[in-house]
Amino acid sequence: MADQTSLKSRTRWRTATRPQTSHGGVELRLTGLTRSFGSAIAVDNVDLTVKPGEFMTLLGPSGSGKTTTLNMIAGFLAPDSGRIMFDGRDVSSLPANRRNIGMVFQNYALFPTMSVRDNVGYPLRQRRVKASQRRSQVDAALEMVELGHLWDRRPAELSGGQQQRVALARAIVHRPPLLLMDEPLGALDRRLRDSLQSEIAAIHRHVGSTVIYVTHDQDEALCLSDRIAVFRDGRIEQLSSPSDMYEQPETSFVASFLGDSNILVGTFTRDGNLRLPDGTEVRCGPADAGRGDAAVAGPATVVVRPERMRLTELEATPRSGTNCLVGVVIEERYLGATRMVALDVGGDRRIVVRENSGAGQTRPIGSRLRVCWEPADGVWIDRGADRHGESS
Amino acid sequence: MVGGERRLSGQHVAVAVRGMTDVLDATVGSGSRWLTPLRGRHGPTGLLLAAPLVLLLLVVGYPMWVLLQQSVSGPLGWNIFLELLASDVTRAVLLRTLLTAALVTFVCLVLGYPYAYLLTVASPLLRAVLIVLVVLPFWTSFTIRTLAWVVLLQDQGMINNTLSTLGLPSLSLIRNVTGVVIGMAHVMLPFAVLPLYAAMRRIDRRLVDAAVACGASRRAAWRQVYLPLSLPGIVAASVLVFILSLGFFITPQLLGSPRNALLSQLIYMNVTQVGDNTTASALGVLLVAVTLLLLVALTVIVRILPGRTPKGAR
Repeated sequence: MADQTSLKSRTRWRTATRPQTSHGGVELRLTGLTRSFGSAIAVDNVDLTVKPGEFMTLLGPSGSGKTTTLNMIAGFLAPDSGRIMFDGRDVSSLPANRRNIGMVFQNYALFPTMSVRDNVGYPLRQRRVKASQRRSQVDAALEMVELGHLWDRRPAELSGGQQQRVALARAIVHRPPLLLMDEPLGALDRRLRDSLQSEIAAIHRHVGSTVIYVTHDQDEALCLSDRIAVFRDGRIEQLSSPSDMYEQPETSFVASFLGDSNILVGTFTRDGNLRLPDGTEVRCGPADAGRGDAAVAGPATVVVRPERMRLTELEATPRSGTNCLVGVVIEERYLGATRMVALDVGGDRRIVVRENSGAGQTRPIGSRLRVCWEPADGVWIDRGADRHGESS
Repeated sequence: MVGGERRLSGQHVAVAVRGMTDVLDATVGSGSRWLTPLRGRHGPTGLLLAAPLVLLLLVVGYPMWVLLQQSVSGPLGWNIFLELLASDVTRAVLLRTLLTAALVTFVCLVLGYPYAYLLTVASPLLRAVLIVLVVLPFWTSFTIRTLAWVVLLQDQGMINNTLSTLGLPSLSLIRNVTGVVIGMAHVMLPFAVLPLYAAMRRIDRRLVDAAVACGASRRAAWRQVYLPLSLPGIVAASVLVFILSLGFFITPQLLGSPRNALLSQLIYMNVTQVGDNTTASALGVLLVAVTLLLLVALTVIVRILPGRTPKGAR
C-alpha cells in the first residue's frame, strides 16, 4: 500500500485485476425513495441500484438530498415512502444497528472516552466477538490504515487525518457488506485528502464492500467511483461512470458541476449544427449524429470542455472542419501545470480554454486570438429536436 | 484488552472528577489552582486576584477564624471536637445530614438528568422556556417557596385532599424526611440541571449515531457512549448539590420535624434554646471540616485513579 500512497493523486486507483472478493458487498436497491422535512422535499422519488462491490458516489451541492439519502440507507432517517433493499431484502423498517453497515462520518465521530483500539473494536464488541479474536481483527484493521502503533491513544491525541483513519478502520473492522461514507474527507486539508483518497480506494479493493460515498467534491467523485449519481434538488440528475459523466454530461447542470465547461447556447439548425446568437454556426458531436432527427429547429445547448479547445494566432489558418471563434483575452490564470485563459467572444459570451503552461508563452490580456475545437468534442446537452420530440 | 472495560470505567470517573474539580474551583473556590497565578510571573493576574482574595479573607476567612476560636474557648478546649464525635446525638445528626444530602443528590440527579437532556434536544424556544422554568425559583423568596410546599404537603394540604377525594389513602408528606427531601430537592434542582446541561451540551450527538451504526442498540449506545461523556456533569452536579445540601436550614426547619433534625438545626437549637455558643460553633466547624474532608477525598481519588494517561504515551 505504501507505494500507492506515494503516487500522485487524481489518479483512478483501479487495477485491471480487481479481485472478485468472496465476502463482497451487498446489492443495494432504492425504489421511489422520498423524504421531506416540513414542506421541503429533500429526496424526491429516487430510484437507484448499486451493484455488489460497487463504489457509488452521491455527488451534489449542499441541500441536494445526497446526505438525506445516505441517512435513510443507514437507517437514521425513515423514508416517507419508497423502499430500501439489501440483496432483495427490504430493510426500510430495520433500525440502523441491525443493518450491518459500516459508516464514516465527516467529523470522525470517534468515542472520546475510548482508546483507538477500543474505538475500532466497538463494532466487534457489539457483535459479541471474543476478545482474542477481536484484538487480532482490530490490529489488522489498524494495520490497514497504517496506525497500528497508535492503538493506545485517545482520539484527542491524534491529528485530524489520523482520527479519520481510525474512523475508517472502525467502519471496516467487521467487514460490513455496505460501507457508507458521509463526506469523510471534508474536514481535512488537501494533502491529507489526497493520501486518504488512495487509502479509501485500496481499502475498497481489499474489503470488497459496496460503498456509498457522499461528497460535493468532484475530484473525489471522479477519482474514486465506479459510478456517480449527481443529485440536484432531491433527484438524481445523471447516473453514469466518471468518464461518461465528464465526457457526456446530459444536462448543463452536470456539465458545470463536474469540471469546467463552456456552455454554448443557440439554436439547432436543419443541417444539425448549432447556430450561435451572432449567426456563427458550429458543428458538434460525431459527424453523423443528430442528422436524422434534425427535422425541427429549436433552442439547443452544446458543452465543450476547456482542455479540448486550442488557442491560435489570428494569422494561422485553421484546419478545415474545426469550429473556430475569435475573441479577446480578458483573463489569464496560471495554475502550475496548466493555464486557464478566458476570452470574450462577443455578445457577452465567455469561453474558457485550458492549455498546458509548459511552452512559456503567455496570453496577454487584450490580445485577439482564435479559439478552435473539433466538432467531436462538442456534446449536445439538449437539442431542439429532442426537446420537441419529448414534449409532443 | 483484558479488563479493558474495567480500566475504562475508572478513567471515566477520573475524567469526571477532574471536570468536577474545575467546577468547584469556579464555584466553591477550593484547590490550590487558585493561588497558582500568584506564585508565577503573572503580575497583572496576581494583582487582579488580590482584591477578591483580600475580600474573601475578610468576609469568609476571618469569621471562620472567630468561629474556630469560639469553639475551643470552652473548658474542654480542643477536646470539644472529640466530645462531639463521641456523642450519639451528634453522630446520629451528622449521619442523618449526610444521608439526607445524599438522598437529595440522588433525587436531583434522577429528575435533573432527563431534564438537562431535554434541554439539549429542545428547539431554541422550548429550551429558553425550560431554562427559565428551572431558574425561576431563584427569583422567588426561599422561605415562600418552602411555605408553598407546606401548603401542598401538609396533612390537610392539596395533595392529601386530592388523594382523599379520589378515595386513596392519605400520605404523610410533612414533618418527616420525605418532606425535607422534597423541599430540598426542589431548591437544589437548578444546581443539578445547570452543570448537567453544561456537560451534555458539549456532547456531539452524532456519536450516538456512530455507535448505532457500529451495531449498538440505542440503549447500549447511550450507556457506552453518552453516559460516560455526561459523567463530568453528573459528578459536578452531585458534588454541588451534596455540599450545598449539607448546610440546609430553613427547609428542614419548616418541612421536617425536630426529631429528625439536621446539623444546621442542631446548631440553631444550641444557640437559641441551650445558649451554648461554644458547642454551636464547634458543630459549625465540624460541618465545614466534613465538607472539606469530602472535597479532599475526591481530589485524592482523582490523583490516584489510573485515568491520567500521560500525553504522548506509546
